[in-house]
Amino acid sequence: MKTPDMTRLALVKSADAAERDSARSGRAVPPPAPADRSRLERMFTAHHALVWRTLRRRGLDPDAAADATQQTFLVAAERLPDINHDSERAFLVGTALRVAFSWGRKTVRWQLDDDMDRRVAAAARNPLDEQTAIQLCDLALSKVDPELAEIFVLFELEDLTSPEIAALLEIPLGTVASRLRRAREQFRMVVGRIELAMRREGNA
Amino acid sequence: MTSDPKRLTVVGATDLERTLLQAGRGEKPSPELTARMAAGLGISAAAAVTAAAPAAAAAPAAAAVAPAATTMKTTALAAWIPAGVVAVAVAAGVVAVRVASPPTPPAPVSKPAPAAVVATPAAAPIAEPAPDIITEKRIEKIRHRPAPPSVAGDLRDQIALVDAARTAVKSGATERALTLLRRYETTYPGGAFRPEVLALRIEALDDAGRGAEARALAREFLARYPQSPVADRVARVAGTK
Repeated sequence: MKTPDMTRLALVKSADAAERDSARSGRAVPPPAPADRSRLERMFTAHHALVWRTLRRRGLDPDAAADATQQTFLVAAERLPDINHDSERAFLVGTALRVAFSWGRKTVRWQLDDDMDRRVAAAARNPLDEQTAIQLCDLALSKVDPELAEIFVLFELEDLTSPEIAALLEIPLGTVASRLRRAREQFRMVVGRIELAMRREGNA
Repeated sequence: MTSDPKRLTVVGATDLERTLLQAGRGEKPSPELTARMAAGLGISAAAAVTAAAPAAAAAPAAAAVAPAATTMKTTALAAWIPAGVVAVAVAAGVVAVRVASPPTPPAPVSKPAPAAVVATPAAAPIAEPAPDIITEKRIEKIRHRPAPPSVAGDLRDQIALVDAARTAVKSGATERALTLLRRYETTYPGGAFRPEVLALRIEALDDAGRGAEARALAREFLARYPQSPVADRVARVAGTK
């Protein structure tokens, strides 16, 4: 099993630094060298779905998640020389979470709450298709405390290990374990409520 | 050594929990969104789109359709399906797919992708995104986001793709046409316009000098769609008429 390493921590911090640099300077990013472009393409091909999905599970709609994914890779493009090849995924996920956080203050989550009854009823009336299942998954996640949901998504949906999550979020392993436990409790409680509501609707 | 607990999807989840988690795990951006992201980064979308959906379009082609799809999503089903009429007309050997009075015409198919990673969002502070990234309109759109991709949206996207492919065939851009048609078949394996798409593919292959492939597909077409309005023309390609 991998253990947190300083390189990864440093890289995650460098994503923060990139954001701060961008915020301060507002400077344009120069076009990348061909080798960098090739690497960026490879990273994009390998990880864009993961980044987009991570942003979706943080509550962004598909279009907004695409914009935020693009933003994540733009940060990566700026920091390519500093990103260890073994840490590309960690860098991208860490950056995506920060981007989601900045977007979330304005755009994320409330629409899930507003639509809850309609979605539950719709799910109860109809066979649970893929799209409805995704919406209900997001709905349940929206009811989990954000700092717990973040860990839950990385562990349960994206298969990151606890040490990877600890390194990414710069928190102790024990904290990852306890937050994951609480996240599971909350998630399962919400899904249980959804299931009850579906049964009620189904029996009505 | 720390041992991770088993994932919920592996052990201990209820059926509904597992269903929701697997749905969340499996979601992928559409080829259109992938192409849009790649185009925004100034990199080739071909590989990425292929990864998301095998045999999909190259960046310029995909980027050309994406704006149309995005625009279309905002129009309600009722606004056009009842009035509308999706006419699939086949005339003079050219498969024509038309929407009667479409509220938004498809985007031009020749829009180039940005050439380099110099997009303005790179320079925008992430903590305070630039107005062109998160505008009030964007926030409103997210707040009142429409229902998930609807039948209407799918159908209109299909029409846009078939229309673009037909235009490409007519203009002799056979490779582009074939790319768009592959993308259609990948994105809509059960799509409403499969016969038309197959007929266009046969026509494009024939025009491209790939007669053997065209003839093989033509025979397949005739076996699957013997009553198709374009069967006669396809039969000529197959050499059976």
